[in-house]
Amino acid sequence: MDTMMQALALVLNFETIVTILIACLFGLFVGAIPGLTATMATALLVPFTFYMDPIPAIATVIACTAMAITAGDIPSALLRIPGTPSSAAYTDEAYAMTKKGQGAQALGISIVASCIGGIVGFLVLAFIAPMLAKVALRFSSFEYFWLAILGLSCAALISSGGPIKGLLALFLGLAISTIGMDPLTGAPRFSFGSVELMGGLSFVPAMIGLFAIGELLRYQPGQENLVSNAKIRNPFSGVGKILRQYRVNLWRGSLFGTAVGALPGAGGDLGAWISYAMAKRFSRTPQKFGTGHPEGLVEAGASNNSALSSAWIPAMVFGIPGDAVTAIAVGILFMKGLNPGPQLFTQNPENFYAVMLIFLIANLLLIPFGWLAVRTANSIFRVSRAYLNGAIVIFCLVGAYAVNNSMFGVLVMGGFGLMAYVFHRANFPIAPVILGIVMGPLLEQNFLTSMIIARGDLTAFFSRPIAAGLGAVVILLWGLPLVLRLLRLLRPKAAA
Amino acid sequence: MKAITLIATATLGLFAVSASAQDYPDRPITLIVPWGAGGGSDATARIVATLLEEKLGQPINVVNRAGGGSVIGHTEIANAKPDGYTLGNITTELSMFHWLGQSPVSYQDYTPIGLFNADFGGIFVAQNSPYESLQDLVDALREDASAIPAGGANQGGVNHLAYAALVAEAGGSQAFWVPSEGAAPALQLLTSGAIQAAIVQFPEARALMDAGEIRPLATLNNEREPSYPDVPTVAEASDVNVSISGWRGLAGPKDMPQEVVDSLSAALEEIVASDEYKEFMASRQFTIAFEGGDAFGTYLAERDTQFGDALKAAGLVAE
Amino acid sequence: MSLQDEDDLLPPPDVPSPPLLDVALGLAYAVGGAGLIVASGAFPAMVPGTIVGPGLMPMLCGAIFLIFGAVLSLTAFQRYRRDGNVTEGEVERGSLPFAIVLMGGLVAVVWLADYLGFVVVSFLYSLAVTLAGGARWIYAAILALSVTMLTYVLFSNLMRVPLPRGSLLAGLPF
Repeated sequence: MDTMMQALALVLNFETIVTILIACLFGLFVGAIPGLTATMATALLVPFTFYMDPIPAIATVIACTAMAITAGDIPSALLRIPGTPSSAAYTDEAYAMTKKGQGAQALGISIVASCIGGIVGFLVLAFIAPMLAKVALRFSSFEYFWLAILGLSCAALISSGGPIKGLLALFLGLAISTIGMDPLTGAPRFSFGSVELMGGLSFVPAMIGLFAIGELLRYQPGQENLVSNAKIRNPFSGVGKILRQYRVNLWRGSLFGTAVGALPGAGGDLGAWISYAMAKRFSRTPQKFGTGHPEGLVEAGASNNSALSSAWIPAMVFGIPGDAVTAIAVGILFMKGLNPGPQLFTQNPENFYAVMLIFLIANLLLIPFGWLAVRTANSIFRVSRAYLNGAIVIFCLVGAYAVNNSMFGVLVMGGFGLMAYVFHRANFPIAPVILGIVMGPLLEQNFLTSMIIARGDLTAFFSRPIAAGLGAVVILLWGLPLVLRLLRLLRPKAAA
Repeated sequence: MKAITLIATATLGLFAVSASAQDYPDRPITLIVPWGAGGGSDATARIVATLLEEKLGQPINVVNRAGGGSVIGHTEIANAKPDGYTLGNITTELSMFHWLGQSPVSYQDYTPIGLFNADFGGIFVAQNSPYESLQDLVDALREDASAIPAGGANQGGVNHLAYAALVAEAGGSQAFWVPSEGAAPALQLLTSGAIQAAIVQFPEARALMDAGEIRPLATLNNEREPSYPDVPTVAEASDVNVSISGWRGLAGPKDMPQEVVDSLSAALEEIVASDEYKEFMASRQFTIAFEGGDAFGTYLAERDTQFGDALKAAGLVAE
Repeated sequence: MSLQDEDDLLPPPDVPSPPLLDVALGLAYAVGGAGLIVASGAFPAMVPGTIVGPGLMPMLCGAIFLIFGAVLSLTAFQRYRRDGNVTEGEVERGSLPFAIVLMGGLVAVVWLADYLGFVVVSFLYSLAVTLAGGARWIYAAILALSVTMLTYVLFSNLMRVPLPRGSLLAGLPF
């Protein structure tokens, strides 16, 4: 109890609170502008943290990223420009709601689901972080491989357009991810002597191209406003009812996101995709998915933010960062003498609990700040589409450029835009392409690493208990529909 | 109307800034880091940039140009205009690209400004490993190196090189190297029991050491690390000797004006000697090293030969 | 478990799209897949005697492209033989002149950015896209100018992303 009071004192003081508020505003801005990423924002904050006390320093990173990831849903839902690979999982669903005039509600759902997911992640972080981290440490490349397969299977199986087109789209993404220097051996692949291609095609320009440029290419001048019938109203009205209706999705998404988020390097991006797929699989009305149905949004939105919280578990317990943001955060922790490791919990528990409290505050602040952002963003509905396009193209341009500070990104964006247009005409799903690009390296590297360890022996993928379990789930996932189909073929005969 | 006035004011303001000052630097400098945000290169480059900004009185924009195992960023630095407004953080990999056939760029394509960091790795095993000391590991390697999977980073990286050198010194057969992208996945493989030894840098392994998940067997430094006085050097802990370090330095494209190089090199020397820098590097456990200007050039030439020899010994040099 | 539930568990059937487009895309996939398989054979193996190495993933992708591309083409061709090149439902086709401005502008931006700088090219690009969408000159110009300047100030000053400066307009501050 004493520690808790000390932790409260560390957080509830003028400096920390003001820092959190400023960081939230900054994160909100970064997230809402397509092309600016949470990583970029965190890297920029580092020099400021040099001059801060430990707790406010770490508070800036937590508050800024939590806000940026959630705010990234705004351009994703309203303009179809997703900011992160995880929000790409439900971009089309949210945009479909916007087209129906429910854009504000889509955002309201994703904000509240994010807040709840984030708080679940926080609770897990606060109470069982060391335990969960120990489990995560037992995951080797074999387990990661199955996890990657699981995520990709979900995307291929639930995508629109049917399984063949889903598979082809997914493998296109995987093939694209092999362009550039192989990170394990340094062998250049399909780079044709170009230094730019040696770095591969980054997913941000690809994502902007596939969604935003693809959408612009389908624009017919003189077309009506984005949503003429959208009323500017409280984004949170009616959200409570929807969340109660889909409370199972809410909890499942939060818990699942927390679990996979704790796996360094894999969780954050995969969580939302698998959650969205689960929501569809277990839904009573799967045919409504993709037409602006809130069920998937609830689950994926909750999963997304809870994974964000739990990604800090391996970083804080063992100093193993899962992504660039937590890597920077680990650096700040070291710099401020809050060395990651079990001693963070035992030697200075008040510091640890202070960090936890900041998670709670940052997630609670999502609600008022989110409200503010949605109200502001809503004014774009009053702008006629022709003018909106002028602003969108500039954001696309800088977004594609800023990832690598290179005009090459702009070309990549254009190329993917054209591809999205063709894919749309041919009814190919585009989300699996993104997932393929993002998960390709994870899948490939873990497969190769495993095969090198096992010297080419494929049975090694079932020789470790967790790996075998995950493998069985994957086989079930693919096998079950086939078995059911067989059964259905047999049944009429049996009846006759 | 209000918006237009605002824009006009902003535009005029921008004009006003550019028209001042004649001497270098009179506008913001770009510092290219060939690695992503969050890594060691990014962290050290950003502290150098922050301190350099104070010294030079102009903003220094750190730009992460990651990808292609840092080939892209390094190439971009070499190809920039040598006017002193594009600088870069060059790293260990530069000593290896041309040997590995990954890219023709070498230290000769740059104007060296100064070395600011040299880090040594360590040899680690899991807590429950049968190898109690480095000598145990060396003996096992001598017997059959191909039975001991080890990791630490990509194939042909500095950690792989150090391991290959250790195996060669021990007189073992071909080293069994399991490549991974960076230190974090390798540590994950070590703790999950998929590999038996890892070569990573101390700052990356520190938290796992504190948690009692992994044990250091030796440091690859010539002398004991001040932060880890209990960890022996390779020579102390076994009957072989290996020492290979990675390095990070500030450089610009080839043919930069001499006076610009001199002023940057002098500023960097002051920074490296400053308390802020020492404090930062100590907190992150990076080792400070300094070589300025031409001395850095000599250092780079030596590294180039050293790494070339080591890569040849490991059988990694491209035909 | 009722029959209804089983239907939900099954993957959705292939949605009809223009059959000839499917034939073309399937062929493109198959040809690309064959190319990938050939190209990936050149990469060295990491485990001797196997194909485990940098070429494995591209080879796998190539195989999938080849097989399923061919399947897609064949089924779509059968559909074409049966029904002709018909499509159900409405398709948003977009407008060719607008698409030309959008994509041509993008290429021009990449090409001209080094000479004219980010501010000038993105202003012109935004203006062109807005006008192609049927906007009025004066508003389009105000919008393009304000959004360009806003992004420039935000990115260069606040986010410290150095946007390209024009070499032909070196005297300008941007």
